[in-house]
Amino acid sequence: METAIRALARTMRDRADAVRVVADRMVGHAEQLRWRGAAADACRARVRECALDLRDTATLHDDAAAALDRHARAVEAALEAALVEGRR
Amino acid sequence: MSERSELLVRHARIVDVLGGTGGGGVVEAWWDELHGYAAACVSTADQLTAWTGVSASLAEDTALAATAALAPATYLAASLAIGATRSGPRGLLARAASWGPIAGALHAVASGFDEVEGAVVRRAAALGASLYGPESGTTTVPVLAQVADSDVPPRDLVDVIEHLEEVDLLAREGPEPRLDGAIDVQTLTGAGGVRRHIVYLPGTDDMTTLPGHRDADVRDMDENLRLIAGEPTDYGRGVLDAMRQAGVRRGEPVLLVGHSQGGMEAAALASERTGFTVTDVVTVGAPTAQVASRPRRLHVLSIDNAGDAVPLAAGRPDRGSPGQVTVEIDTGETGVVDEHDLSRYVAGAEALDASNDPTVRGAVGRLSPFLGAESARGALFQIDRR
Repeated sequence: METAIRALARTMRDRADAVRVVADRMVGHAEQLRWRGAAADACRARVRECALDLRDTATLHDDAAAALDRHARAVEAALEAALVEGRR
Repeated sequence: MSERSELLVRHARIVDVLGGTGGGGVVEAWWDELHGYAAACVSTADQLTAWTGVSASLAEDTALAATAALAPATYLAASLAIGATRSGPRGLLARAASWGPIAGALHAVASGFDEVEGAVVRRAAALGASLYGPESGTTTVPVLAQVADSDVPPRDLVDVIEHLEEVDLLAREGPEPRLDGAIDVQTLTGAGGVRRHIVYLPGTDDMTTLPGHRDADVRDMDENLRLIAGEPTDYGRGVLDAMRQAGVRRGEPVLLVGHSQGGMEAAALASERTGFTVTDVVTVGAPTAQVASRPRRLHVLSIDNAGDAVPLAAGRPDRGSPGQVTVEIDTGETGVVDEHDLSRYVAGAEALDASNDPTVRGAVGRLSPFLGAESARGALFQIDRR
């Protein structure tokens, strides 16, 4: 049971990494555009803001993964306690 | 440089460059780059939205739900943390929503179309133009007089703007009657007999005609209002008539060059189906943002003097786009001549010819098929309102 929860945590961490990859890719792509001028600068600034937001969302995924790991440990502890109780 | 310009304005420097390709590359490919990035933004939004489904399925996972009774506090914390990745101000749904507007803006830029700020100004101009009444048509007649460099092929941008100034002066200097409404259609013949044309369009030469008192001078304030409003003009009809009379054929590349009202007319005609093949436009001291959309293959080079308010008459500056490069110049001269005067723009053209900025070099370089031809033949016309 706790193994399944840890698998969910890994999924969340993988998703966090994937979100960061998207953020980096969009910033890099914007920097490569040959568009120049004030409007281009404003657009790239907006893209960087959106990428920062995405990295923040990736952190939320890491937080969720950590919460799932804590829950897995708590479930593990509860099951051991129940097992000990059952042996008595 | 003409003697007149040399006396008044010696130098100009480039203070800003907007739009263009940023390196003089293949503009069409660059358009595709912007559309491609817009598509990537949409794809990113779709991907983020799809991931919200994964978060939702995790939160509803049966194995996870089965552990709620064993550790309710950590279960609740994990469920809330998973939910936060999906919804809420920092979640995937909110982040996905932020990429759509970027895509929309990029598509708008790549289409060379930015409608919002100029709309109010256009409505006001249309109202003003309506006070003059309907247009009455024009007569376009060849003029036997010649300007100095009509039959001399221009070698660079300075030559082009200097010749525009020469045509402009026909309405302002010399013996009466002056040639108000004069334009020049210059036919260039290059290697292998390839023909191209440069049409020189001066600006307003009648500042005083009031509504109800219209005279034969076609380049009056009424035409300025009509151009800002996006309406067809007698001046424009006369220009097309002159091009037909000069023997400009469909398929032969045309460069329209205009100052002030002439620049507005050039930008307007280039965006219409005229039967001519206008490939390039050069405007100096002219608002161009009022032209809502332009053919994708058209290239516009606009030179604005920092002290000249006329280019702002469309309600906002033209911010530049892949098909349009706007170069702001500063001549450093104050109080010597009018900031709107063509002599300022001759100096500005010199700065562009000498510039190492890749966008400027690309924009000026695009004009090279019109520069350095083997021969040139000018045809001067006078456009009068009937």
